[in-house]
Amino acid sequence: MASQLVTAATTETIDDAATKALEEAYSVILQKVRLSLGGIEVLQGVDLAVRKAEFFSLLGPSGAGKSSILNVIAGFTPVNAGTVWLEGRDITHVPAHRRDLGFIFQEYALFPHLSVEQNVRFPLEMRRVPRREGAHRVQDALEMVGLGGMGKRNPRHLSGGQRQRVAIARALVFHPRIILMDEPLSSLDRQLREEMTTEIRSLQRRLGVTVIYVTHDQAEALTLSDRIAILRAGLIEQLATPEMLHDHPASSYAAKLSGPINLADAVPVGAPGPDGIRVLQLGAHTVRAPVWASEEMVPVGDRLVLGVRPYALVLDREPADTGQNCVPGRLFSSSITGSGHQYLVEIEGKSWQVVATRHVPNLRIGDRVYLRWPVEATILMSE
Amino acid sequence: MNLILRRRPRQAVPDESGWLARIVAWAVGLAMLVPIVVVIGLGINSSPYLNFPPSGLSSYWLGIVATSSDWRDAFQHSVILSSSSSVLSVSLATCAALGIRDSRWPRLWQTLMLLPLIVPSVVIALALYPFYVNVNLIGTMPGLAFAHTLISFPYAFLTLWGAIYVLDPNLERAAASLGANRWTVIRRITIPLLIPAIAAALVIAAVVSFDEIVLTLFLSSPQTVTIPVRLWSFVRENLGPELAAASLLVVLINITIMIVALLVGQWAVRRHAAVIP
Amino acid sequence: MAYVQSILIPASPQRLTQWQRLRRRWSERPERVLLVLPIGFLAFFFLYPFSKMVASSFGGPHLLIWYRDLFNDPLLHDSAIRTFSVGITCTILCVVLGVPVAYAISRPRTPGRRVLLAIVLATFWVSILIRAYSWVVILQDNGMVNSFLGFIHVTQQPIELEQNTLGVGIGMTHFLLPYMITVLLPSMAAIDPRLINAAHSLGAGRSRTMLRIILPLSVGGIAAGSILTFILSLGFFVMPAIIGGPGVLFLANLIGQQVGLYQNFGEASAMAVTLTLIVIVIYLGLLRLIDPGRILGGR
Repeated sequence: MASQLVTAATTETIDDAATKALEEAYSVILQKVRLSLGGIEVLQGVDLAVRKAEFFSLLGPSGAGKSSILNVIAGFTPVNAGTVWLEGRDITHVPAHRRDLGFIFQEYALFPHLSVEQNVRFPLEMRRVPRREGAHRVQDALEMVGLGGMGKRNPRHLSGGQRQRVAIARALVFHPRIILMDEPLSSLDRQLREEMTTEIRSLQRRLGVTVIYVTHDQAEALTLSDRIAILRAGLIEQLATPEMLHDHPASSYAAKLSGPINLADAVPVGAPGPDGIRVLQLGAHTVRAPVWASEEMVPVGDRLVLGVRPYALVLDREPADTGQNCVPGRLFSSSITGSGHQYLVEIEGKSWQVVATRHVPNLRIGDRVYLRWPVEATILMSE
Repeated sequence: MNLILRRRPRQAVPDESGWLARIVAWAVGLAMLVPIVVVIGLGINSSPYLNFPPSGLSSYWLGIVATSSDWRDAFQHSVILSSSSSVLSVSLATCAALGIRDSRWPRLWQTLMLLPLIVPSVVIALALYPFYVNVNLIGTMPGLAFAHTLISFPYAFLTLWGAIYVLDPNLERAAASLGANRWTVIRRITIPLLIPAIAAALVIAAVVSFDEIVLTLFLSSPQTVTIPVRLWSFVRENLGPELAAASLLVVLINITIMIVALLVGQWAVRRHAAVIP
Repeated sequence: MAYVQSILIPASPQRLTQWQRLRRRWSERPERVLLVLPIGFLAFFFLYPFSKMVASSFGGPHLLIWYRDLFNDPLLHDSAIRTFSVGITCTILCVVLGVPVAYAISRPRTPGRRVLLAIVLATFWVSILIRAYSWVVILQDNGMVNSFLGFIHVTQQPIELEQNTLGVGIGMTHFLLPYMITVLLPSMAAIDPRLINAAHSLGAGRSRTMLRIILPLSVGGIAAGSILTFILSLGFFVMPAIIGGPGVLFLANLIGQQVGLYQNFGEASAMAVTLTLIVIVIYLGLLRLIDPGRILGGR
């Protein structure tokens, strides 16, 4: 059942954590981490646990605190309160250079006074790897990212995409088990970004490393990640798999970050029924929504927010009585997109977006239309 | 029909400057060059009087100065002082810039470092004189070297501070994430990236020391005469052509240093480009 | 409603003590210890001798006797008036002459602006002594200026342009202009050309734009440049000595006279301390306007 999915993917109880033996299951754990910078509380008590070999994303707008979390894990910024665990060890007070993680910066941070090869060799020198073995490993790393012959070049003479690869090679050459990436693709153009996205994912799978990835681009996060933590003003709003975030966002903020969504205010009518269905008033219309079993997910209050994804909606000229939710509205826009038809319908003063693969014939702007969607596709949030 | 064609007033463009500003600017610019041109003209003057424009051209006096042992000694002293004091000054300035970097009160530290520049040289001379007498540094080369270091230190500091200010902190973080401890980061990343600034600071400090007159005047002795001090005594007694020739040579040296500095600057930018990744 | 993940693990001590915080700052940036070297140097060669000098400015039978003598000294009065008035005049002149130059250099479409900038910067490198001496040659009775004026029959007799305060003022202005221009340049260059565009589109001609837009926006730079120029002018020694001659004594020359003369050391120290105080107070005013670190090195 859906509610069980929610429980399993996002919560761990004391017993589970203890039994799974932290070192084996989790790469990184943050516990009640607070961070103040310049008088501003950047992180207000963050708890999260990243599993081994997981591709974990931190998603949110600028200023939400995602890069700060990364800096805390890397040791660039000391925390004001809380604990940071790396593979079972408390590293809260361990300096950055002893944490043995890979870090990829947004602007790559390649050393401009060293060649590509010297850049990639740097971590090996720090670990006293003998020269010849080091040279081999550097060459392997460069070939792995497709820059085999570029060793002697200076990073300044490389393109953005090539610099990106050098940064990856440098961060991987010493075989760290955890890699942190701070918006690594945001300085690249769209096409390069798409290529690199697939490469990064396949690299991660191949090497089996844990990746913690920071981005503000929802498409990136949803495509790449095993789990995503949505950040809002220094706190984690929701932490779940992309599917869970898409189907059961915890708030409208999370809903918007996990894909396009139509939102409307709704007022609950009475208590939920025995079948787990609630009845709500959407303006003048009645709709129904399912209720979740997990305590923490039950939205409470007199005014709730209702959400439906655009592709769950079906546009029709007549109301149908099929047990689905059905709401009338007025069509005010119709256009063709790459993936089908997009209609914009005005309901109770709000604009609802419908993405349909089927074209409804003989529609004119201003016509009265009906939107239908399955009850299970109704998302209820408290704000 | 009489058509009077009127020229439309030229559209003012923000990237341009007005004609008035330009005229004034160029007038001022040329005025700034005048004394330098005068010195050059005087130095190669054949007449024994200081008249400009020169009545004839001759390198006679230049030759006199170049072969004079007094002038050579002064030059030697100046070179020794400027090289030693610039090295010391830049080393101290690098330590200062590194030390103050992430401080909570940067302006306080900066003011302290710039004090020898803010306080007038005569005041420093007045303070150092009895002190030097007490520690037997008066009229000695080491004493002068320290004094020159003191004077050129603020210049070196400003140069290094400017460079450290624009250093990308992510470069050091990257090095740390790759396993370098703090001293290794400074040794392998920070200082190599500061080399252009260090080179520039060395040149600036050397020039400041070479041209230093006030402090040197009061703290030197006949055995430690520098070029500016010797020029000073000539100016006071206005011994014409020899002074002119010596001045010209000094200006030439200054120009040479300036060109060297420019070339060093070009090289440094090409090799290191520490500012932008 | 924020959804919180709950993992309960025994926590390590959370808040840091003051001592731990201090230790952490040190271990993060151990290179701070390097500060000891420059501070030690400054303390030994500057702060200590300076404080001894300050100490010797108080003394004798009466704590402030030297300061009192100072304020009664007519020579000092003359010198102070001369120094300050020339300083202010030069500063004003530098503003008037420097603003057009800085403006011209800052506009990218001024032809030859790089040459202009090079000239301005080049003069920094020529020793003040040599410049002073060349001004003597230019301004002397049979020098360039007087010969030229006589040539175009403006004057019958040579004007006395040196061995007096006027000549010193000219030389000082010439010396201080590059400082003013260098400080003005960043604020002039930072004026958004779109603002000038906007002014033009609203109908302002070039001079009105200059007066109402450009000057007000560069007031910060002008103020900073003026303060810097004035501070520097207070310390001038070489130019008054050479261009002005023995009759023209600026404050720095007065102090210079006392070096090595232990008899008047108290009064000399008092003079030096007063001058330094004035300079420092003005400098602190300058600090509120600009960041001194960006003058030489900042781009």
